[in-house]
Amino acid sequence: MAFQEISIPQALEKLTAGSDVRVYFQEGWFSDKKVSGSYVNQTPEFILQDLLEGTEINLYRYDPNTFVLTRNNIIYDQLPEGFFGREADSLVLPGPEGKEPSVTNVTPVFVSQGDLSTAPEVETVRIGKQNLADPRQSFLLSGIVRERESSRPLPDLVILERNHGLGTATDSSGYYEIRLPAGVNFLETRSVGKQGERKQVILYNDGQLDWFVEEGVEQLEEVVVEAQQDRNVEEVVSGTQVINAEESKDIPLVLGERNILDVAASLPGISRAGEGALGLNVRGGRTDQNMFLLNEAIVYNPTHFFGIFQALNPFVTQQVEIFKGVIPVEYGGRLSSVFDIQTKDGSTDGIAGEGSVGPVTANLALEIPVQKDKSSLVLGGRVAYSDWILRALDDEDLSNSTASFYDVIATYTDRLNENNRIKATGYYSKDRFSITADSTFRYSNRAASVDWNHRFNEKNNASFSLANSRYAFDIGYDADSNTDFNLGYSVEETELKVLNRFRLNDRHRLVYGLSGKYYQVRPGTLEPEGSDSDIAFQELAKEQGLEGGVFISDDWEATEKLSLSAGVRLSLYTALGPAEQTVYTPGQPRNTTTAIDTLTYDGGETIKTYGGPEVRFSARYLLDPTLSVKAGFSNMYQYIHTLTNTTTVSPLDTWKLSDLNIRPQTSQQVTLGFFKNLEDGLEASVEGYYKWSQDVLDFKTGAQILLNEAIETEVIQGDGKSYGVEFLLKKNRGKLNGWLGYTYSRSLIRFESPFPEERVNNGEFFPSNYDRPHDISLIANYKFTQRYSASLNFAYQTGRPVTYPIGQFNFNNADYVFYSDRNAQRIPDYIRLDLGINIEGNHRKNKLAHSFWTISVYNVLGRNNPYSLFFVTEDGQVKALQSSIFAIPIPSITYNFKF
Amino acid sequence: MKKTAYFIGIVLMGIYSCIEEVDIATDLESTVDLDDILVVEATITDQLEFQSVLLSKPSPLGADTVRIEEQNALVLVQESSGASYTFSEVAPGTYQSDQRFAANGGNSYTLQIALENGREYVSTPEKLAGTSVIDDLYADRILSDTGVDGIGIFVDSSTPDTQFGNYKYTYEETYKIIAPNWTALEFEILNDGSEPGSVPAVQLIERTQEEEVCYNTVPSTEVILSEGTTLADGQSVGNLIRFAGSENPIISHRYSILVRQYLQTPAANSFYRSLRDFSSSDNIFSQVQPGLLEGNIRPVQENNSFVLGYFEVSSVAESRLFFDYVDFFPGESLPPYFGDTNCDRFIIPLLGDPARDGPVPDNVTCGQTLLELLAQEEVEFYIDNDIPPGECQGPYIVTFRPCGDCTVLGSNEVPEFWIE
Repeated sequence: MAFQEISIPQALEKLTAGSDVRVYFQEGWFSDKKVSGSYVNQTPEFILQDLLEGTEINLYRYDPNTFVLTRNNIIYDQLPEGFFGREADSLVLPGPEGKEPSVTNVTPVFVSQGDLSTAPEVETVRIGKQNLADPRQSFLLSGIVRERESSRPLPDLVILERNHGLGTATDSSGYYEIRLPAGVNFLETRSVGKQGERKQVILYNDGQLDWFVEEGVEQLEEVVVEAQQDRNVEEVVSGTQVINAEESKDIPLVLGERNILDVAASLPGISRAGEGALGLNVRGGRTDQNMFLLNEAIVYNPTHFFGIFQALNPFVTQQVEIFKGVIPVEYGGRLSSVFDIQTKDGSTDGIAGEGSVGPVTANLALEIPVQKDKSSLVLGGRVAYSDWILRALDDEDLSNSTASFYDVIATYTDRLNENNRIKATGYYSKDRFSITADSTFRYSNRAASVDWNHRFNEKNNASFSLANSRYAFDIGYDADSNTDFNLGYSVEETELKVLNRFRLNDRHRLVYGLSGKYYQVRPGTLEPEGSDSDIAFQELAKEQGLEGGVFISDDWEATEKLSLSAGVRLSLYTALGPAEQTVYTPGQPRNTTTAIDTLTYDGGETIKTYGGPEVRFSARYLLDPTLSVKAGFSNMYQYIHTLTNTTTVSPLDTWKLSDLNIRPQTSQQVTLGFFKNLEDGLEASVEGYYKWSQDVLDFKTGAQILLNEAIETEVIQGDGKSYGVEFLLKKNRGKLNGWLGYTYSRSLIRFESPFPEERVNNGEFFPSNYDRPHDISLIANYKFTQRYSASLNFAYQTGRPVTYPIGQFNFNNADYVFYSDRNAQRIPDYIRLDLGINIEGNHRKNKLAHSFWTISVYNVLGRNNPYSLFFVTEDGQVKALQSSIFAIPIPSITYNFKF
Repeated sequence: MKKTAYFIGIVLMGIYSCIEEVDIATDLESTVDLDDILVVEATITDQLEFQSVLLSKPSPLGADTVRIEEQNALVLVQESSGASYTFSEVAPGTYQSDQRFAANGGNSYTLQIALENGREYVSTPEKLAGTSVIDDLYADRILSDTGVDGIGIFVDSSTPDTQFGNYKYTYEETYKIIAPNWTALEFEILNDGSEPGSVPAVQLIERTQEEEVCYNTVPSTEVILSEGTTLADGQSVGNLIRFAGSENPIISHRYSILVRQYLQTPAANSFYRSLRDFSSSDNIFSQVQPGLLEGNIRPVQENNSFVLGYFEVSSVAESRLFFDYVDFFPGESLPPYFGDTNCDRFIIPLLGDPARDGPVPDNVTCGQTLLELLAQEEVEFYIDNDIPPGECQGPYIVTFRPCGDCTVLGSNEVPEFWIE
């Protein structure tokens, strides 16, 4: 008898046709698997066994010519020993090796109808083929959890077994493993924003079960990821926060624009100098000490329009993970924080899209499957036409201004197979604004990355990434005259990073790898614009540098209560030629008169090397299952710095590499915190930190930065110290959810030198521009019904320090004020309340579209929060002026519908 | 399942930002004693002239008097050749060299100051940075940075001595004023009616002095620096010195500007740039970090005292420009008159003589009389009220004083340099 590429039922039919062999089975049990084979003088039993090899079908011989096929389970024709009350222990003892399998030491799986759930929506899944030889009482179930719509793996999703109280969670690639008792298990998944999926799993053997989880529409209001509920207490590294793009949706908006960075600023330890201030200050650090990574590629300036809008398309952003304490060992090069921005993996089984049209921006995001269940493309584009707002302004200076921006992003994700996944990203953002009729300011970010994830085996998961980023700005002057020019600046970097996550055993998880980064800075080019321009071409010498890191860390579960995470990163930086570097007289202030020599370096020649080991250490001790204490220490190096001479950051600040004269910034941070989970999904934490930093950059008063060939003569480097206590109370579930944060923190800097020109405030510590000791933020959502909810956002901050004049004098026929101690006074405190109401359309099944309204008012109190205070001389008279950005309540309505 | 979502945002109101003037806080504590601060204005030029040094003291914020002259100081400029030039106080706080002298390129100069209280100050030695040349001074009708139509006055500067010159400018502008409602006659008060029972009386007489055409001269008050528009040959061209909008009355008839151009050292330029940047605001989103303004004059003895100011040795070039309103605005109407004065509005006040005035109804107050207005110097004669005066009207039609008498706004003497 022979079979040639036919399905098993066809083979069975052929076997029984024309003989008295009878086989009982259900056709639906078999897949489309084709079988082939030829048999000579074999019994039907042998042929059947051969055909069923590798399937979940068991064979039961009723009599020599009658066979009953069963799915998964074995038909027992004798009761096992001990069935009527023998000691249960005998059932779990594995049989001695080599012993013939017998029923006595097998765990039979009996499923009575009563055990099975009668709920119609609960699917029953049978896993594995029962094997008489297998004496085990429990089996290992593993698999990958994906979102149904996009097929993208879901990390941090909890899988619970209700009856036995067992549970596990998926890792970053959506993979889970759980050891379950043989037989019936009721499994369910839990995650925020996802519908809980339930399955009744009858386990016969080790096996694989992949899940597809629906997006849970009714959970959109949840602000906090539930799967992190244990993370608060159990995670070893503190100072880590995740903001889900979905979460930021309900927080009241400015001009209808979602802004994850604004949400970040409402977390303890993260603040900004004011509305309209670019950049964030994390734990008292300068704005240049944060690293914004978009799918592994740096974005130097992730904001549009003076920081009011984020430069990230909200519809393609999945989440932002913020590290502000002990930063994971694979990151380096910034002192204060890492913002790891991840975009969505696109849907792989159908085109999906989201879009918005507002008075300020138009926004579109598309998810396009390329190959079903494998690969997809996400495209996002955003464009602003805000000119009319500026023109509508009362302010004469601004009403002649124009401002516009756009950003585009494309990501391609390909799950080549179970073990390989590739994600490629391209991103570009551009801002253009002009404050006068003749001059135009433009700045742009470009970022591209390719990330290849490869799973060698269950223990080794590697990632290879290549990223390139560029930030550039230019100032164009076009008055149709012979003085038209274009002044340009750019910084570009390319990084290659290889890392492996190695699960040594249940107690040790290692991460190790290396990275190399190449920087190229064009500090300034002045070009004549147009053929009639008589402007002299001027270009500052390019700067180059190489930054490298070798790192290893171990997450070690030392005991049930104590976990440690210890890592070290060897950080190195080399400033490379070609370059000319000026040597200044040691022990003298740096200026043109103390220059003693100029050193010339050839291309690729080392100018100066900096670096050292960076320690990243965290420890967590569980005082009880809901209370832990965590401590951490880390130190960091930073080799690229912004040069700014304004009180708040401007998009025209340049980035400068460390060189012969400018040392890297360094910092050390210690943290200690207590983390507690209370009832009803309420979690609380208090964490203190103390951070020292060295060689923080500042400028001599009145420094000129653009096109300055001897910028080191304008730079001074000093010490910083910052400390604070951060309280956070978060409620993750229930009708009322949100968080309340309070931070007391100080950020002080000191510039000490024997020379008055390099000294600020007599060389004593003074508050930095972003020192805001008291910071309260409250974000709350209250769900009245399934359809109606309200949200509230309250912020209070101590006013930021300003330099107030100490007197006035008359000079060249005009009155001026003069200043002494920097930042000795403060502007009034910042207080803002935003309110929002969210109304969902009804949930009737047959409705065409699912709609969602948000009505929000920004700055309900209409408080005129000062942004800066400055003193001007107009017509020879001194005037004190105070500026504010959003001085009145700003209402907005957004309408959202899905179908 | 395919899902498409549309997201439409409707914003009812745009960004509202504002800048408002606030009161200057005067009660702040400071560790600095204002008595420790000396303000020095000292620029020695390469012109053979009486050089001057101005010394003053600062005042607390919000004080009415900003300038407090520093008197009875000893001022000396030391030349590296060994020569020294002594200065004497010619007016409170103003010290003038006892002889004319000019800075020359071969020497460096040091300013020495000894105050009445015994404190001594000395500057770093300063030299001329080169020779200052004005290549061109010209006016152009332009749109300003903020889009205002008007006249811009530009200087093209150069120096044969350095590749990139830093220039500071000062100016003195002089403009002609023509009183639009001027007449040859003015009032003479015969009886001011102050005696009880007397009847007020005036008569018209010929004016005794020139009051139709006047000139006013105003010095610059802001710090004006070259803006680095440097051409390939080292020239700095198109430096905007002054902008006067088309609504500015100073350009109504004939206008003249005298520009002085100082060639500065980079350090001196940086001092003035900081002074300017600390006291102006380009952009509400970013503000230049203000701080201590560091000059080149220091106390001789180590103490808390501090000097605001910069001792400069500078090459000066001067140039003057004239233009008429019609040169740039032919056929266009003149700018509105100075201040808020409306010269198209006339009043007919009661004289106070019932024989010449119109009827005064009962229970009506008619406003100030002619004599009251004359006593306050608020009006000038325009024409007689020919028709019989109406209610509350007197016999003369008068105009506001600046419209009939230009000496309110300037001097009636033609400046020496004036060319028609």
